Amino acid sequence: MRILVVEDQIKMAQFVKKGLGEIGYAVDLAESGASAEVMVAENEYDLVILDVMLPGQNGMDTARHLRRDGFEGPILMLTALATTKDKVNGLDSGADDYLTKPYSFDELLARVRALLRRKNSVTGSGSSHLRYSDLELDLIARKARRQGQDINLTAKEFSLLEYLMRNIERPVTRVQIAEHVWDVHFDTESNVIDVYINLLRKKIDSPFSKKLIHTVVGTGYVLRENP
Amino acid sequence: MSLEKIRNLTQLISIRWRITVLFVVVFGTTLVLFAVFIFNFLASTLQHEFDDALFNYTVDVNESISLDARGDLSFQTPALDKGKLYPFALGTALIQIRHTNGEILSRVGDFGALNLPYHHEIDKLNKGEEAVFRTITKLEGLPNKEAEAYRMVTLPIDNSPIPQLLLQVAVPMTLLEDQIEHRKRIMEISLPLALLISIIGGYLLSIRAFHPITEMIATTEAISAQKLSARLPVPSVKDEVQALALALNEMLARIERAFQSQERFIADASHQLLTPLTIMRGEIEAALRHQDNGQNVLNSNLQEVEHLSKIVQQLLLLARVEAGHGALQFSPLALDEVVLEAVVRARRAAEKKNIRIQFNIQNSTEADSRPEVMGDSDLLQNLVFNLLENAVKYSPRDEIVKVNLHWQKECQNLQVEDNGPGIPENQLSLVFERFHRAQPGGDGYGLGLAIAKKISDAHDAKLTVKNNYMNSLDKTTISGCTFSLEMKNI
Repeated sequence: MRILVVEDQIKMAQFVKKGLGEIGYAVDLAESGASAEVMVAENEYDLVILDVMLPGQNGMDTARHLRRDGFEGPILMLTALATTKDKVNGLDSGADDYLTKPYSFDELLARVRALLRRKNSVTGSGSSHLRYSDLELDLIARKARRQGQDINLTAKEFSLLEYLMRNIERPVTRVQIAEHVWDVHFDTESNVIDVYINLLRKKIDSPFSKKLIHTVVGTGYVLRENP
Repeated sequence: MSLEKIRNLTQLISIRWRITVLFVVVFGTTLVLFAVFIFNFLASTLQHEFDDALFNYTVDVNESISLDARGDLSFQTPALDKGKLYPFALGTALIQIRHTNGEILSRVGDFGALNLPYHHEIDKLNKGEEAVFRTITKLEGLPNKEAEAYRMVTLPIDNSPIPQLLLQVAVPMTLLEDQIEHRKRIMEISLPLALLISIIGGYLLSIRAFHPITEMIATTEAISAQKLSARLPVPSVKDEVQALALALNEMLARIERAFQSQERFIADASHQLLTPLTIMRGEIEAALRHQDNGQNVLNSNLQEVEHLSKIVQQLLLLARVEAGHGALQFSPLALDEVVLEAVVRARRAAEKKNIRIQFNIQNSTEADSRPEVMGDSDLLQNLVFNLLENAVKYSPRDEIVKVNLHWQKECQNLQVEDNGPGIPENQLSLVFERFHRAQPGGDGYGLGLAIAKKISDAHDAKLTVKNNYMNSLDKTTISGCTFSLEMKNI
C-alpha cells in the first residue's frame, strides 16, 4: 500500500511518515499541492493524506484537481477548521474523510485503515436505493419516498428508517436501534427511541392506509407489510 | 428619455441639489399656475368693468337720442358725462344707429370707411339678449385709430319684441389694454424673480435640513478606536435624525463590544495557553538536565498537549460565538437530534465513570410532530455537550445523568440533571463566568459553562442553573443541580 502525504510542515510530515512507515505502508511526501498533483500523475497511490492549509494552492483546490485529473483513490483531509461548514466544503471538494487537528495518531491510523478497506469493498456495496413495499429510500440523497410522495426526514429519523429497512420483517430491539443507529447506549428507561418511532410513524404511516411500522410487544419494532 | 435614464441622471446630482430641484419644481409650478389664474381672473374682471362702463354710457346715449320733426335722429352728447368717469375718452367714441336691414340712420364720430358688424348682434338680440358685446380688431378704414382694438356694444332702441333700430357704440380699449399690459409686465418680472428666490430658498432649506446630519458626520469622525465609548448625542424629537443617531450608536456599541471581547480573548488565550506550555517547557528542561529516559515527562507532556488542544478549541469556539451573528449559521433544526449527537460525544467520559445518561423526551404539544428551533447546530451541540460534560464531571461514579427534553407549545426546555455536590448558593450566579471553577484545582478549564452561556445568548435562549434538594422544604442537603435551557420554537 502506497500513501502520499501532502503536508508543508516538515515535523508533522516526518512523524506521519514515520508512524505509517512503521505499520508497513510506503509513504511519499509532497510539500505543496502542485507537487502532489505531479506525483499523483506519475505514481500509483492507494491513498492521499492532504493538509488543507498549504502554501500557495490550498487543500480543497488540490483535492478538486486530483479528482479532475482522474485520481480515484480515497483522500483523507487534515485540517484545523472544525465547523460543519468546513467539513462539508472539504467533502464536497472531493475528499472521502475529514480529520481535524490536533488528532491522535491512532485515530489517523484507524481512518486510513477504514478508507483502504472501503476502497477494496467498494464494488460490493450494492445498490444506492432500498425498497420495501411502496416505500423507497435513496441512500445517497438521504431521501425517503412513499407512493411517489417525498417525505421529509431528519438525519436521525432517516438512519432509523434505514436500519429498519435493512432488517425487513426482522424485529429489532431498542438496544439494537440505540447502538446501531445512533452509536449510543441509552439507559433502559430512556424513551427516545419510542418518541422517534412515533415521529417516523407520523411521517411514514399516518398519511397512508397500509401501516408498515409495527410494535413487537416486549421486543421492539419491525418493518413489515402484514400486521 | 426612459425612466431608467432619468434615475441614472439623478444619481449623479447631490442629494442637496435634488431636494432643491424638487422644491423648485413643486413650488414653481404652483406659483406659475396661481399667477396665470390670477392674471386671467384680473383680465376678465377688467373686461367686465369696462363693459359695464360702456353699457352705462350707451344707455345714457340712448336716452339722449331725439327724434326731430322730420324724423331724423340726433344726439345730445354733452349731457352725458355729468359726474361720470369712463375708462375711455368720450370724444373717441363711435356711435351709430342702424336699422336691422343694415341701413345706417345716424352717426357720431369719424367712422371713415369702417363698417361696424351687426348680423351676429341681430341674431343674439332676437334671442332676447339685452345687449351684445364684441371686440373688434379689424379696424381697416378707421381714420384716427386710438387703439388696436375697439369694444362695441349693440342694443336695441325700440321696445318692439323684434328690434328694428340698433344703437351701436364702439370705444377704443386703450386703457384696458394698458392695464392688462401693465399687469403682464409685472408678472414677467416677478415670476422669474419668485422662481429664483425659490431656488435659493430650496437650496438653503436643504442645507438646513441636512444640518443635523452634517453635525453627526463630524461627531462620528471624531470617534476613533481609542475612545469607542463615545456616543452621538441623540435628539429628543422622534424623527429620522433620531433614528439615524440611535442606529449609529447601536453600531458603535457593537464595535466597542467586539473590540472589548477581542482584548479579553487575547488576555484569556495568553493565560490559558501559556500555562501548559510553561509546564511542558519546565518538564522537558528538567528531563534534559537529568538525562532521564523521559517516559514520565512524555506522559505528562501528552496530557498537557491534550489540555492545550482542548483550550484552543474552546477559545476558538468562544471567539466564533463572540464574533456575533455573521459567524453563526442559523437553520431550523431538531434540538433532540442535537442532544443525541452531544450524548454520543459525551459517552466516553461517562463510560469511564460508569455513568449512564438517561435521555427522555416529553411531548406536551397538541401536535404529534416535533417542534423545531432556529439555531447553529455546531454551537448548540457544543452547548449541550458542555452541560453533559459538566454533569458527568461532577457526578459520583455509577450515577445517572438525566437529560429531559420537554416539547411545549411555544418553546422547548432541555434539562440536564446531575447528582453531584451542587453549587454553593453564593456561587450560583458565577458558574457562567469565564474561568470560574467550582472546585479549586479541578481538571476543568473554567470555559465550558461560559461558552454554553455565550451560545445560549447568541440564540436568545435562556440558560439557568438551580440546585436540587433532598427535601424541597428543608433546603439543607443538596442532591445535585439542574441546568435548563429554554429555546423558543419556530
